[in-house]
Amino acid sequence: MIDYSGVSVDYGAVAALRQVSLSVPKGRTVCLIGPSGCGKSTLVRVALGLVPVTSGTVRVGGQDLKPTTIVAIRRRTGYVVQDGGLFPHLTARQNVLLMPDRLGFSALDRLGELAELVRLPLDALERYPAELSGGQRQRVALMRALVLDPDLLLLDEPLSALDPMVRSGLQDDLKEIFAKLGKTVVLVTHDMPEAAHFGELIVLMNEGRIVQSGALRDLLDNPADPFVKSFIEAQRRLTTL
Amino acid sequence: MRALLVACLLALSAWAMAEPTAVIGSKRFVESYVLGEIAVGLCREAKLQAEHKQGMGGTAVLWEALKAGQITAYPEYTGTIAEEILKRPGASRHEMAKELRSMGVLLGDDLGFNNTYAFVMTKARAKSLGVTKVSDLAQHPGLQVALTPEFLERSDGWKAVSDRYGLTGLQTKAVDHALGYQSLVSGAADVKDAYSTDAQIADLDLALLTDDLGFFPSYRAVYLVRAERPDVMSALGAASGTLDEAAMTALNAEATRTEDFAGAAADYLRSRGTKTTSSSTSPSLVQQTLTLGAQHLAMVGLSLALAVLAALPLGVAASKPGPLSQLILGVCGVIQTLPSIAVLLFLIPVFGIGFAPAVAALFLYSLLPIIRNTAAGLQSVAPSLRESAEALGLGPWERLRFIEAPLASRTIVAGIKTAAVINVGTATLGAFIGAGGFGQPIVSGLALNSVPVMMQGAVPAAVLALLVQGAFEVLERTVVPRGLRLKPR
Repeated sequence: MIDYSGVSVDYGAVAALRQVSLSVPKGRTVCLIGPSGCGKSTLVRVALGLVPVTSGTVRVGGQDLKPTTIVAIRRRTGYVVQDGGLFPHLTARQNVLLMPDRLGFSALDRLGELAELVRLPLDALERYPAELSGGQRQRVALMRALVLDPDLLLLDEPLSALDPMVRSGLQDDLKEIFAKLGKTVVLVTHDMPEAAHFGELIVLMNEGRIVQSGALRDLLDNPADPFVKSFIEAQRRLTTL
Repeated sequence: MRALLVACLLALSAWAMAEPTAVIGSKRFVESYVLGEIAVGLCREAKLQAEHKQGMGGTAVLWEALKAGQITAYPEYTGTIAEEILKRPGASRHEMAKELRSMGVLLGDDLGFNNTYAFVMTKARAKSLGVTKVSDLAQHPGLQVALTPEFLERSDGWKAVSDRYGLTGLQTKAVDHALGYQSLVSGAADVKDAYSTDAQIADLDLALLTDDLGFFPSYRAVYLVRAERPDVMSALGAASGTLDEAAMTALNAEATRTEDFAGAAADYLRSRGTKTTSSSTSPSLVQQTLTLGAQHLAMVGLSLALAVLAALPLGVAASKPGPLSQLILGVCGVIQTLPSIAVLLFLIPVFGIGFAPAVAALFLYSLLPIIRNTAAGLQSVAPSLRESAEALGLGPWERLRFIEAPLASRTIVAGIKTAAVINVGTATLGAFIGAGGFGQPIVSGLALNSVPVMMQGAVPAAVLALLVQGAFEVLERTVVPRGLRLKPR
């Protein structure tokens, strides 16, 4: 679904990605994990053309990412960020229907369906983001990402800002939704248990490079280098507290 | 906003349709106001439609307006025509008439009085010192002389006079014209410069010193009329030779006392034995306030509407950092620092006088607050929201129209509000170039040195500013999306 080959991104003098190559297979859920600043968010943003690449190529859904294809690729991709990225001047409903309205088709029937899917009470649709709880905001953001029925979902730390109870409930709901829809999902997280919860394929990154990718078992049993081992150790210590 | 605009345009068109054939201009002092009103009365006696644009400005403004056809006629003085307009000091009446004719302007007959520079003293002081003429002053080197700053500075003013009459030993100080009269009465000054028909000469019982060496050029009052209006010229000709110094001084004194120029003019017209029509009566205060208010709103509304149309796109352009943004904000910043009176004067050659240059100046002053707030509002949109809009696949125009502009709406509306409120105040200066509005009573009040008259303009202008402010608070509630006015939970 996404093919990165030799992608490098520089923010001024700082290298955010160094020669990253990765294939995200269609219909699978891939978790990008790593410490802050490892380049995992940048890798997702590159796929939407939000960050220009310094070198290398990116293909999304079989199309090369370039100025002429960016808009089409964005419209076939759902994107959810940490704080939801909802527009505060629009109600939940207006946020969800923004793109269908702009593209000139009615998605009213889809609205109820999506609300049910993400378990959002219908009356919450009439509220403004400021009137919704954090969890509800993320559910609305997911509806907005899904409304055009995209092939690809990019979720950049969608649950990180939520408190643990809400977070755990939403993790279960999300996993169920992914399984139901069968879409290609790339989920960015810094939390190993969360990656283990979602990821069939886990990609561990550090300092702009992919350090190791594979199933959770692989990473636990055959760490590719000392960093993988220490990263997993550190996460384990936190969770067993 | 739309309703306000429509109201302004209606007021504007009603005002424009009422524009009569002969437009009489006047300068910013009592005598000119009275002569302007007399001209209107004479035109109406001759069954010509006439309107008075009072207190439009100084010589330069009136002369440009006459040449440009913005006004049909105005009262002027021969000395000013020779020295300031034609730049030919000492030109004879015949020479002046000929040169003016070649510029498309007719020189009217002498009205009968000479309003030249003069020196005045209280009669009591003059009598005790035995002073009757200017040369007598040289005998009293201890005298205190209060001079208007302009007269003190001019090369043909005090310096030349004192050289000629040997008065260089006298003590001089610069005092405002109206205050100078007060200092004569209080004894703080002994002598002051004056115009020979100043109302105060009669009111304060002052002695006019004879210009015995004939230093001051003569400033005989005449009407200047555009050549294509001989009918107006002949109507005004009825006043020729009918006003001597005493008569004019009395009319000036009456106008100053009653604050009613039309009334003083009507007295003159009656005294000539002609019946005056009721058309010259002054309107009631309510009527006047409504008329001036409509003119004021038309200026503010039209200039603001044009400024919004121009400033919003410029603000969008200025919101993207770069040389273009710096250029736009820099130019607007410079415009803002120019004194408003100077801007009005610069605009006269382009737009003439009256409504158009006032609107143009207000337009220029409105640009900066709107552009700056639009740019700042757009720049303050959170990067994450900007990126969300981009990631959805919205084009640049759609992002601006549906996301960034609504998010910046509060700041943008605040900029328009600032411009509107400043505009209501600045529009009072429009009266200096004949645009009317609430500035007109303020300008008249300055000429009359009358606080109550100034209040007739200042108070409604202040009330209007508050109303505009209130109207924008309401507008803010409808324009700024409700979601932005909620506190996040």
